[in-house]
Amino acid sequence: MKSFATTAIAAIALASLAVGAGLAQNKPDSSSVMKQQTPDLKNANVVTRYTDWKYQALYERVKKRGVLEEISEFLSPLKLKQKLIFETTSCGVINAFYDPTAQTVHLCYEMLDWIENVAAASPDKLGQGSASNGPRRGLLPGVTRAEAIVGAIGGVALHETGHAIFDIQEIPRLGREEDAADMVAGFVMLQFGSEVARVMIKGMFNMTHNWAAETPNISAALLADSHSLALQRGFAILCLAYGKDPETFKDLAQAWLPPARQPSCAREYRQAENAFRKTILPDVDPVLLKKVQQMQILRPDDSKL
Amino acid sequence: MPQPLNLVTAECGGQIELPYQPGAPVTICYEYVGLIEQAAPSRLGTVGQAVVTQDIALVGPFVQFSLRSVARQLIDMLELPVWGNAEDAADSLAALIMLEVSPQIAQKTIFGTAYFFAKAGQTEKLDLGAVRPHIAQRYFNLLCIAVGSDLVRYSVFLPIDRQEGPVDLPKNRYGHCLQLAAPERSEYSQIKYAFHQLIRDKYVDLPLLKQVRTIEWLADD
Repeated sequence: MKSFATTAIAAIALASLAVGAGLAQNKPDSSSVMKQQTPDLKNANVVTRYTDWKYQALYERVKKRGVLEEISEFLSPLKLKQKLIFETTSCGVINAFYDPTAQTVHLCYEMLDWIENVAAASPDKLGQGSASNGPRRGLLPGVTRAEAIVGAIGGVALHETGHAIFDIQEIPRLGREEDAADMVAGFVMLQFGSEVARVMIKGMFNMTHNWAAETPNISAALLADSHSLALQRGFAILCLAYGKDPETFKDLAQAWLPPARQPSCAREYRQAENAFRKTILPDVDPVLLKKVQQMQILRPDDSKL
Repeated sequence: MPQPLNLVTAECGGQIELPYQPGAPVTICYEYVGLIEQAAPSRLGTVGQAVVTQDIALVGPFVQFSLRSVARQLIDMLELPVWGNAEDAADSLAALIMLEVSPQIAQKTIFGTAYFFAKAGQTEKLDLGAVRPHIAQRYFNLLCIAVGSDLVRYSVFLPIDRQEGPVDLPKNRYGHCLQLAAPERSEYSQIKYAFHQLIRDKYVDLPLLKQVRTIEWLADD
């Protein structure tokens, strides 16, 4: 099928671009930093579009950085069976989703806004979450604002791309759909070297922590939801990372991952690797994938956010 | 199967289930059976609007546990590609098999398992770091697949035209389960498609399967 890798890169690029956009208010135009594209990296089946002016500033920043154009390039190794549309839009709710009837990934400005202003904000600025004794919102100790934004947006984009790839490529899923998409996102994040992987995993875990902080009371409706609970999702992704590279993620696992989970992480990563090899890799152009993997994912400006 | 799969019943030293180990025998612990017996009603019980006899409450979760334990081992033995949680995958495969044998077997095993999960869910501690989801989540997953397979038979678990109860499949979930506009996207259809693609078409002897399906499983006696 298609390349997670490609997808990943696209998503990561999207993240970094959006992040850059988020900070662009305080910085000179940094568009010259990006653009590492290679002319042959283009996926003819990927359509991109920016819509909506409700979030004018976000819209302009994301468009100026050419986020969606880069997605098409990053998805180039993926032999998609049908068209796939990526759209940034205003959804009226904090969300991102894949619509299978329109084969469109919607990246909502509300989600980008929430990530910038809640998940990546200082906890002191946010005050207490919805429960007085619940976990605090905002940045976890040890996570930078740049990591929180890049990792979260990249993770969300990868998750939704996972849904799209499952649907368009008709990939069988034995696990639950939402966990499956999380696993795609987590696996892809880990394919671009340890530096990129740490940024992505930290940002993604920080986001799940913030989701958990916003829903501290675990109701029957939450247990019944098609998504796993926020922290279950965070632990699953961190476990994948620790399973792939225990050295790189040792400190994060010690800080955040329950010890009882750690022994199964290597097996969980092998499971994802096996699934990727058998269901997606056959449709990936290996030459293009290599090119995509060599692209610069994190840019100098990202670390200064 | 590329290698033998051993099934054993055993005392497990007080544990209801042995920790999963790839390649280990599928072990049904007497302690787990004891838990099922403990949860079963003396004659009749209910889970939401569904009435469950003692027999059903005993047989259903035993069958589910056996099938899901075999499925979990087969996932590794056959190196099946699993996106998502492998524990959920084993549960989903068990549910699918329970639903596909016959409508009668399906109802017995689904109702019985739902009864047991609902009871056990009242006492199981929520461990967010555990590989296996909480039993309440597994309960709702089971119902989701069941209603997707046969809306009429399992509608007792849906709060339609009545107030939602604690063991009903909530409104925020059942739309996903039914997918009335596109049933091929229901969780039931999804696991069935995966089973066909990854297991039935590659590893199942179809004439033997046909024979197996003619056996009268779980007769009332």
